[in-house]
Amino acid sequence: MALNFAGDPSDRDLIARALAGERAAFAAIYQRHHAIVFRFARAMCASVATAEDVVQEVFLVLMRNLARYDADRSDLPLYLYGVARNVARGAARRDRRFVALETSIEEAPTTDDPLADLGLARRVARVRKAIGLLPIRHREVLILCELHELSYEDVARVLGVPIGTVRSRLHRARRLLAERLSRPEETPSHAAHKRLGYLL
Amino acid sequence: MNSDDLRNDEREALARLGEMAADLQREAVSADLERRVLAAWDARAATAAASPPPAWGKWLWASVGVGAACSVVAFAVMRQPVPIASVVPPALRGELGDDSDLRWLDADPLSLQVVYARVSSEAWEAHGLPAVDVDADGSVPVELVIGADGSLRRVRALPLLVHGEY
Repeated sequence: MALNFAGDPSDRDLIARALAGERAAFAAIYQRHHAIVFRFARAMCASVATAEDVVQEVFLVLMRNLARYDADRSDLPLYLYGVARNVARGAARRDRRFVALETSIEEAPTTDDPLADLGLARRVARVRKAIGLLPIRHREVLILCELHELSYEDVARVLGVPIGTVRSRLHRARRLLAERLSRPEETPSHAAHKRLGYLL
Repeated sequence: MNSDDLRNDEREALARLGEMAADLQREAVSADLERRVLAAWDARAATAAASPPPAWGKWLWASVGVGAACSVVAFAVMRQPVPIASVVPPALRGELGDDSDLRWLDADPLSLQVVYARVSSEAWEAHGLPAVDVDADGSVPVELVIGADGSLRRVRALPLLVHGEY
């Protein structure tokens, strides 16, 4: 998973320089990899704020463990996915205790057709919600394979499971997602009332 | 699994996922996050600069450990444990906690310190003391009474039932 352009220092170089105390090297690592960590966390968690907390925690973990990171065992992005997965799992468990407020869809227009934008935003919100309701072990496989397009081998390494397990979880995750998306849509307030009723 | 194996509703779901992936590409992390991460880096660097080098700390802890170990050995070897009377006969165990029987030990009973510890039953018996109640891990809960001068005045085994209350 090399993301370097020719002439850019490799992750290994940057890690070595950061270990020697070079702040700019750590900043470069952050610049290079924070986006994938954020996109993973954003898909795993319910809110942007939680996803940003996950990103911050992931880079703090990297900062603490720079000396122990072994570039021969794992590419840096895979290592970061692994850390992000653990941190996001904890955040997702914490988020479960809260009932999400109804979120308004206020996306910046991406085309000249506001109605099309609104329809797209609603569909995306629905997919997000459906993914959020998947069991975590299925959710993370779906996100890594389908959204981040990692190979089965890489996902297996990130999750520390056999490739066969990745395949079976992905198969199950696709099916669960399809079933949830094919159900008639609940209005947000109806869903919130149902969850509140369940909690109370 | 290749895409030909997918059901229609799964294909539809994957198409929706594609829309979500495009949407995720548009979301950006707040610029403040990088500042917070790098502030943590600076704080860590400042702490590392202010603290003693790790090797020095290691030696400090090692010397503290050796000192503590020597004290314990000296305490155990130099002071003859007072053979007990102090092992509480089963009939009197209910009286533990009543300190009236300790008042004769020091002119100023309030200066006495009571220390609870666990000693391996082998070590306990090596001093000629009967191990009455032995823990599952083979240790005997004991009560040490230490005078103001730091010397051991009295030691006795505690019955497990009573010790468990501390």
